[in-house]
Amino acid sequence: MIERKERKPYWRHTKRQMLTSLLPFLLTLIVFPFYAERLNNGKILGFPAGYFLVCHGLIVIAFVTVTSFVNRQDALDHWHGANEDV
Amino acid sequence: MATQTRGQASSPLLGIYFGIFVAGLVAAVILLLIFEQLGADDQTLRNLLLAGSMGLFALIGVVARTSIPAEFFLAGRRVPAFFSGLILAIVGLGGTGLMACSGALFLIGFDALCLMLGMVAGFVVLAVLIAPYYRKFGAISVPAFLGQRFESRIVRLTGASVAVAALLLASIAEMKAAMIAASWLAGVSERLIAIAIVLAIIVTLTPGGTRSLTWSSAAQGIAAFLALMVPVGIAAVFITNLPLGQLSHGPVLRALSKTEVATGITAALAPTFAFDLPGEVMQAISGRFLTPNSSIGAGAFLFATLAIMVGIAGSPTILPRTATTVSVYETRKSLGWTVFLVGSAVMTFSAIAVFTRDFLMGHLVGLSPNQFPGAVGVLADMGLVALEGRPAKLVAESVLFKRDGLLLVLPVLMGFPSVLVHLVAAGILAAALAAAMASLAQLGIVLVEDVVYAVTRDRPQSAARLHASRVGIVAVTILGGWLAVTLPSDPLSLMLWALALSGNGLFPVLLLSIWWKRLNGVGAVVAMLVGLGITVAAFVVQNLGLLGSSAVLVAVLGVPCALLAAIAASYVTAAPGRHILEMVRDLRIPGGEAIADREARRLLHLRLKRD
Repeated sequence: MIERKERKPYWRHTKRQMLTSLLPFLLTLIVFPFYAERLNNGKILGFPAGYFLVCHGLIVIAFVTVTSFVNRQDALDHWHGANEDV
Repeated sequence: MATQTRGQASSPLLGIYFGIFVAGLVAAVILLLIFEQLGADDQTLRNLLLAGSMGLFALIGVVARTSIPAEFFLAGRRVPAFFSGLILAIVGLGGTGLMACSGALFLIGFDALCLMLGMVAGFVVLAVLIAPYYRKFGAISVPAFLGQRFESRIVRLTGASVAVAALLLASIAEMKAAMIAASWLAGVSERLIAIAIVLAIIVTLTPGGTRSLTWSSAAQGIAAFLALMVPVGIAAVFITNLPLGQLSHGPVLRALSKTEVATGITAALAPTFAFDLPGEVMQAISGRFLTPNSSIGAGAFLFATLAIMVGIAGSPTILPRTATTVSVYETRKSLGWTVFLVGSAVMTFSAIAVFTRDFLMGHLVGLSPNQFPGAVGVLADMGLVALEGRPAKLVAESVLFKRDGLLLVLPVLMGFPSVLVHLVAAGILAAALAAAMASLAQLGIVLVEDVVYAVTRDRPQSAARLHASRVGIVAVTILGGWLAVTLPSDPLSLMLWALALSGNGLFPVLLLSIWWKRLNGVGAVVAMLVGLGITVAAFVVQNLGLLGSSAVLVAVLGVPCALLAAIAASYVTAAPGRHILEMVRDLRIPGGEAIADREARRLLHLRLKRD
């Protein structure tokens, strides 16, 4: 069980982790579609680059965001003794 | 309903059971293919697929029967991360998503990606901001979470009213999708199909509630993903020589865009807030596939993405499904699986849309009517394709497609055996049933647990509680089936309004109740009423014909308004008490007992002491 004095640092780190996970993803989610047409002249894996970045790229970024969040948050839980296995 | 620690309680044989299910499914499809080659009647094959799939899902529901409340309401909190992720993905996509997303992507191209990006982003936001904390709390429904978090019956009833509206709209949309898919297979009257679907859902859900829903939905998810991926994989081998069409349709897309320019398909620019999604009526492709903002303006694209994102993150159908995992860590992990599976489905929709457009532009456009391949006649008989006028030579604008039938168009055009076409219809039916059951089970539980028992202040014994929930599920399923037959609305439109309701009415209060300790009961009620009010106002405005279909994007306006109203109302009223603050602090720590269990025990103890 987490110690009482650890609660505040744990929550501070959790908030920071939340922001570092979500903000870059939301930024790309908003920005990529606006530049899709201009990037379509380029080519990635045979796809027009703009379409690839919006359709495939954002999904890959979403997956990486969640998996890295799961690992980082789990490490935080263990570091502060907030994990469930204790 | 004690919280489990990691990996403790899930059955070690689960993988084997579902391995046997997948092997049986593949064997059944191969057997049907053999029957088809031996000359079996097509309607018999369709009936076998329809009855076999619905019967199997119902059987799983019956086998998973239970009379233990923890199992009935939360599937015993022992669903492994992968299966939970699979269920979340199929409930999030639903039959509506499978049919409408692929069809919209084919008809309007790039612009339709806003629907799918919003869905993927919604699951990311859910994973980071809400689901782990909801799992730690361990409530059986969103209104129950809010009621216990604020220790207020009024908050619980207000939450229930928003949740009921959103759940009812979502369940009608999915039952309509199930009826469309079943009608492709059965070829009987709509009412008869509706009765069969209602009966199948009742038989599946009532024996075991959430437990039946969970294992039946896992099987439906596997069937739906196989039905989606297999025909595309085969088509991709024919077209690109690689079975992974999701990653290999790039060169086809570039060739398609050149053909579209050469054949004179125009690329108009829509106004910034135009939101012209394809409807239920048949329509021709509009604009070039790769050109953004020809049907949906740049502003509406962004608003739609964000509106769907908050709608998914606050969905009263999806959120309770995240609470069935073994632990908070498993909930986070399950959402990783969900993003992976929904992302794979989105890439598959893209491949299907590109392959079908390429077939249209490369093999049909320019032909005279007497040169049409037989597949076009088959599709016309199925009501999925029609020709506008009698052109001497076919142009792209004269071929009309039914948005919801696109997944079936590609296998027919490619000349696949009809069993594969029926398999796709069965997959859509499975997805629609999974999503409809998830909404209906929650709707029944919310009406009984959060409305009836909250108003009467009655706390019945376990058996009576389960029977009441079963009656609630039966009642709402019959109501949903009746509304699905009588309401003439588009399933996609209903689903977007359901998401607008959950995004406006529930997402802000869920977000603040976890991330802002100072939020009190008054603030929570104000947030929900503001969100609900703005959504209802937008609905009225749309029906008066003042804002067009853009009104459904109101969540972008509703969420900040509800957040501000909640903060203002909380600051001008008394701060929450010490017990609530301690509960919120505990909610933020993954370890320890589920808060709902502890609170239920505390209330029981107090009641016994009083009596």
